Amino acid sequence: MTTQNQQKQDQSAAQPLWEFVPLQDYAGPADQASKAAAKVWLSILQKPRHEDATAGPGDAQHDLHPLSRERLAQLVPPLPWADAAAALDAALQDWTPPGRFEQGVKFLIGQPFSGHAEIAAMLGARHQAVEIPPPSVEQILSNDERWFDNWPPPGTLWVLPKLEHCYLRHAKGLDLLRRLLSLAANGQLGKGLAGCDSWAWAYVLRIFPLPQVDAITLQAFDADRLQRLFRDLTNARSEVAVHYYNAKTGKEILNAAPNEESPQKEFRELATYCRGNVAVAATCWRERLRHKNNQEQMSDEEAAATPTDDTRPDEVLWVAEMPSEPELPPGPNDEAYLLLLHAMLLQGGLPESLLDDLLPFSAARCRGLLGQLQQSGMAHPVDGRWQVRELAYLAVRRLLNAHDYLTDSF
Amino acid sequence: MPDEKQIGNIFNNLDPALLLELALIIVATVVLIILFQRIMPWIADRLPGRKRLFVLSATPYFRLLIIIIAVFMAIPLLIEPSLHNMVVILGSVGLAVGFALKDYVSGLIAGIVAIGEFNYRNGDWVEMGDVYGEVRHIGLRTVAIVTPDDSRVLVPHSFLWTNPVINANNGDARLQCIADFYLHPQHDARQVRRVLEDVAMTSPFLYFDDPVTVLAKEEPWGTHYRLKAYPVAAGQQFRFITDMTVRGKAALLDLGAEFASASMTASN
Repeated sequence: MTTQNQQKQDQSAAQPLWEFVPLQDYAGPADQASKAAAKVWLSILQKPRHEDATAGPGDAQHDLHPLSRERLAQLVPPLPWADAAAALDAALQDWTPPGRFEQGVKFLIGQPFSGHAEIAAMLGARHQAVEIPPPSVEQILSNDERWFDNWPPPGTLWVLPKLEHCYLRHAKGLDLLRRLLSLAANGQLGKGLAGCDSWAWAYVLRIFPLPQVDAITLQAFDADRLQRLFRDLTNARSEVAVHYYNAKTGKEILNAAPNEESPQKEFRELATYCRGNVAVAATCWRERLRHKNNQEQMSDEEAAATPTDDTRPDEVLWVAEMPSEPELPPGPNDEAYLLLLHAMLLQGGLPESLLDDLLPFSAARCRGLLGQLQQSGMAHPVDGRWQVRELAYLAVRRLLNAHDYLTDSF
Repeated sequence: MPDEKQIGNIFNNLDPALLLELALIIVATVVLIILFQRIMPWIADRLPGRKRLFVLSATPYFRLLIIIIAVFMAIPLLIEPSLHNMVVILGSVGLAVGFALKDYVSGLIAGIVAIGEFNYRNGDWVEMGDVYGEVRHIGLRTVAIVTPDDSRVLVPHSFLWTNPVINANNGDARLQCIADFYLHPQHDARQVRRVLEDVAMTSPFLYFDDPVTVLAKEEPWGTHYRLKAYPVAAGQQFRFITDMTVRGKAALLDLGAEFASASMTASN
């Protein structure tokens, strides 16, 4: 191993997989974006030569097939939010114990799908904190302050996992949130942790600009973290040693052994594409995995090229190109679709029962438009709320940003 | 005044090769202009906000540039561009224009002025006389405005010599929208102001980086509230105003506020 590789490995070992940082210290993989763009440009220029030079065993992508749901669940299981909660607990070890003089409310801000609610709830469970349920729609619209009866007496830790469900973008839907933030700012709610979606947070700060806010977030998953995460996820559940190959180049990009080299290009591109959002990255990775019909064993040459101490049998999987992003349904309703998608993101999902109260369309038209969005793979209903699909999220974010709608700061 | 012979002498001999060259210049000019006028809006419609306006507003400048280049290419083919010849030809043309094409040329010159002074650009929302709408095309002589009723109105550029042109967004992607509310004088004005602010803040069309303002003015018949805010795109202005009006009325009714009516105005 070279000294350079040793340094990289040391750095990577020093960097925890799940790391929580103050919101202003969040550093997305943006610095890699320019490099990635340059590489894309170079790849366009060099495409004909490149394709000839790298024709590998995975070149015949049409021979590859998606994995079964069961196998995918083994290889890329749901993200381990408990590990993230443990990391958060460690980060807040000076704050959480009862009796500490530090009071006030901390906010845990998470990108969509990045588990802020689960992490906050798990942290609460670790410390026997009182979990505050979000108010009902009726309570929000009637500014029912009896909701604050849910709070424990001062001195007891509480968690509010979903701040984004505590308001509605409605003329009568903000008062309860303002009251909550006002009490929190004055220290009248004691010590607690409020989880909030990053889009809702952007909106909340416009509604109630907080002078001083103690907000933390999960640090972006860069290439190194993604590579380690996917290896750990695979090793945790798989009974075979899986070797991942790029389906286009035929080059091995991940195996069961701890990596001694810097992250592969695939992970750098994935991290940049997903803007550090670990949940979206995991979904993209899951969508890309393929296998061949007659499951092949590794050749002797391949096995020799990747020596490991692993005694498990080997399995070869292929990583196909990035899945294509869903697009807005064709037709003249682009603006209406954007309004719907924006409403979903700002409120942590669009309540089915309030469509015509929150949008400038009739409920019937909303349902028609939502049906179109569902058909195109951009949105789907989850627990009575319409939400943007994970695979569509980045495309939706780009669209909304390009049209100057309010977006999150990640 | 130059006589006919003098004018005839300053023109080059129009042989078939020269005519062909002139024809090619004219055809190329027309084709290029049509091409630009098709491509630029096509590109602009695929771009958001400010970029769209920038591309749209660049179209007339390209067209003017093409025409100037074409003229400079054509003149040396028609005449020997000496000072004497230019004085003679400009004098003759000036005379003809003065008698026959005064208004037309006035429109052309106003068009050049409008383009040069950025009085209005494609994508701007302008009011010219009784016409209000989005500037969709700036021709050499006229500006095409599409009204909210989807009517296309052609207004001569020469309109701006003697009339005010009101430009609502002046090259910006956004413009201020105002929703008016007329209330009976007896109400809690502070609550009304708070509610109206929330009406704007919760509109799906709102652009958050510009301010939301509520203005109140006491009138003999009641109170006139003006809710001012900016939509995400200028093209949403009527839908934005409608949204604020509809939801503002509902919120004010919930508050128990009473609206001023015409009969109330008359009785006062």
